[in-house]
Amino acid sequence: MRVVIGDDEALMREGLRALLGDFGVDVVATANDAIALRQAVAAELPDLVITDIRMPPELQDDGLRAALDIRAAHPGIGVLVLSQHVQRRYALELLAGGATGVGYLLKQRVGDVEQFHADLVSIASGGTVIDPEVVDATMTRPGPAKRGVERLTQRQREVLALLAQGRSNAAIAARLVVSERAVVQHVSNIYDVLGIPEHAEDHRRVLAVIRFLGD
Amino acid sequence: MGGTTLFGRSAATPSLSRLHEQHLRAALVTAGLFAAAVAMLEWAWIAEVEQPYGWLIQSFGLVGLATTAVGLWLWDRRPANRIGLRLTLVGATLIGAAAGNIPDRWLALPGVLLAEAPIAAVLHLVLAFPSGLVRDRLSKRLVVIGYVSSLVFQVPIYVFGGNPAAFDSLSVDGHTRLADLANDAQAVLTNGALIVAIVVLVRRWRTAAPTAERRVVGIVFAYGVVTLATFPITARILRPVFEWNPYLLFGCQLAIIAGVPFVFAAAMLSGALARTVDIGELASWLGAAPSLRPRPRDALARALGDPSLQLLYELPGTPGRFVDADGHGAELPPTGVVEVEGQQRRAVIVYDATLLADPGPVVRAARVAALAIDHERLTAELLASQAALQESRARIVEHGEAERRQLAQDLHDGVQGRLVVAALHAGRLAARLSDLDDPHGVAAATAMRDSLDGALTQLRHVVNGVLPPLLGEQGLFAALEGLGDELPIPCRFELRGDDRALSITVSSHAYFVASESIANALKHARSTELRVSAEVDADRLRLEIADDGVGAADAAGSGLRGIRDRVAALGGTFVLESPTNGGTRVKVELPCES
Repeated sequence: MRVVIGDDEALMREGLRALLGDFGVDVVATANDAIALRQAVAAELPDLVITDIRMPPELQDDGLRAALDIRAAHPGIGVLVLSQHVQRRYALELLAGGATGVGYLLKQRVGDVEQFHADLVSIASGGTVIDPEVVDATMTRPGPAKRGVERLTQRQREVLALLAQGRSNAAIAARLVVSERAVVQHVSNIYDVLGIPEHAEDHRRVLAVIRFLGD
Repeated sequence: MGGTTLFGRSAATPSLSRLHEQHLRAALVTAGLFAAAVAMLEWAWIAEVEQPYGWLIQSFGLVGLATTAVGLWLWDRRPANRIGLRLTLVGATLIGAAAGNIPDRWLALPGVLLAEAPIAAVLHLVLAFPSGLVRDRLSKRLVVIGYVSSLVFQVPIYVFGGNPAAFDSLSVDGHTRLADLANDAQAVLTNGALIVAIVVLVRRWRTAAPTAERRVVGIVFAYGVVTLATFPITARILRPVFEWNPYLLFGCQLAIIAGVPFVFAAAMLSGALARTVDIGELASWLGAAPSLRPRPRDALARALGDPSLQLLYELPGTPGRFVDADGHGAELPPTGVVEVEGQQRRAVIVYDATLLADPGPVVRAARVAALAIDHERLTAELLASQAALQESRARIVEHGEAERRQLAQDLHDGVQGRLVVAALHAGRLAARLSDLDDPHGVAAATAMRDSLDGALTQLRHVVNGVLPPLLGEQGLFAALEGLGDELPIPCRFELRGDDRALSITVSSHAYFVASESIANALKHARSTELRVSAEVDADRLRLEIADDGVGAADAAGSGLRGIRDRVAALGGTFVLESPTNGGTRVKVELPCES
């Protein structure tokens, strides 16, 4: 797996490089601002891009803009956006393209190296990973009808939350201590309740997550 | 800058005095028309008589009318000065005296009674120059003697003289003893008063200060002396002693009297004297009710005829620093500066030295205005300190806000980043120790990673409380919506305009106004839904936070008071609407260019 890293903190870039090296992942380029990141991605066409949100030159959401552009220009490249804080609106912006292979995590998640590596692999292969913080906030968020989400059972919501975090059916089964068949059944029921039509499995999962995060 | 009107600060608040001025003009015009009508009737009646020098006798009333007209005009131009009034009275007595030539016994009666009155009126006019008021006791007595003598003695002269021909009243022509007696008494009193008055005028002129004004006063007094002297010289010397033609003498009297209005009007309206007398207007300005009184600067500018005039006050504790009445700083020019004396603090009048070569009138104006100036100086100091206070409040709030931003920045750029990297390496360490099959090492490394993770979570909340990162990354509207995600009750947003145009300063103030208002609503209002609207236009940010709770919010409570203080310090407005059981609305407007 070939990775390009964008972060304005040298320590963070080198830490990630070392961490990925532990797993035999090849960091082909690093960039310290959004402009250099776009150039490096265009030059290297990696499997995955990891980028911070707040970056030069504007020190606003430059990294997020770059990630969105990269997703639009190279749908095949997985994009993981890291930040010191998570926002529902950023998750929705990233998912708005409808494409797969996207992740949005708190930076501090890198400490759980095994999970982090699993997430990278998932995103690079087209999965969708949303930080549990965003998912939890969405679960507890008050408000009017969530276009069907409120009609889900408690167990179905738990499954949907894990789905949004990018967990596989097997992982969800392990977490909820149920059989994988039961998880498949839950997921199928969720699609029915939310009225998500039958398409490619991954695409349905993304739609379910967007429905979940939206409103 | 104002300064062209004495009364009324602006067109929006027309003062009573301005109305008064309009009424005065109407009254003066009416009086003028009445005098003209009377003079024309006299002219017509007198013209019916065939007599030598008829034109001369007829022109008597016209001289009176001309004098009246000039007097009224002067009165209108200088309402605070009484010379116009005095001159008008001279004109009126002349018109009245002219009636004595009407060939009708009864119509001529007022003319006979007023035959000597012009002398007293001229005496009064000359002694009252230049203010129009008679100041010293001697002059006052002379004026009284003049009026009494010229009016009272006419009655016995007319009654006992048996001759209603008013024209001859200037000559000694009594028919009975009583009339003779009255005539003599009148001659002694009137002429005595005239001679004393001449002495008074000469003395007054000699003791006057050697200014440009003195020359003008000298010319007027000289003409006054000649006029006053004309009456006794013609009536008591030239006519009886040298037996001059009475028509010639009358013509001389008339010619000299005809010059009076023009000499006085010219003196009043030109040169240094015009300034002096205008300063008299300051006195009437001082007497006006404070609410109707225009500002001292404007009154001085008008009185001195210098619209560029400035009235400046030295700031207490900072010698050499001057401010105007509104508290704006100003520099002193090298010339054209006059100190206002008798003040607690230094005050100066800055005037155009090329316009007013002589500082005398400015100094006198300063004395007149000193009282009111003291009052305005105190107001100016108060305003200046208020402005300084407002600026310092804004600076304090800005300073606090800047420190907040710096703290958030430092935490984000430094501490958060390093803790993340530490957690990363702790995770790597745990993985490596796991590979080496060291369960104790794995437990320790994992514990370290977990505590770093906990620290980062706490730090994230701290940073969010200090300054939400969204504010800097995507602006106010995004930050407000992000705030909405964290609330336990639903919140609707109405966001209009371009929040990216706002500075981070205004954005962060607005954000904290919203978050404080929301916190207040959650704590006290028992509301079930919130609404936040924000609108950005060219120079204002309007923010409204509304809940559907129990209302009756305490504006003095710490939360709302904090918002109000913050908004006031920034020069914005704060409105709280919180009827009992009617929800609470906090409406705030902030200026955008800060």
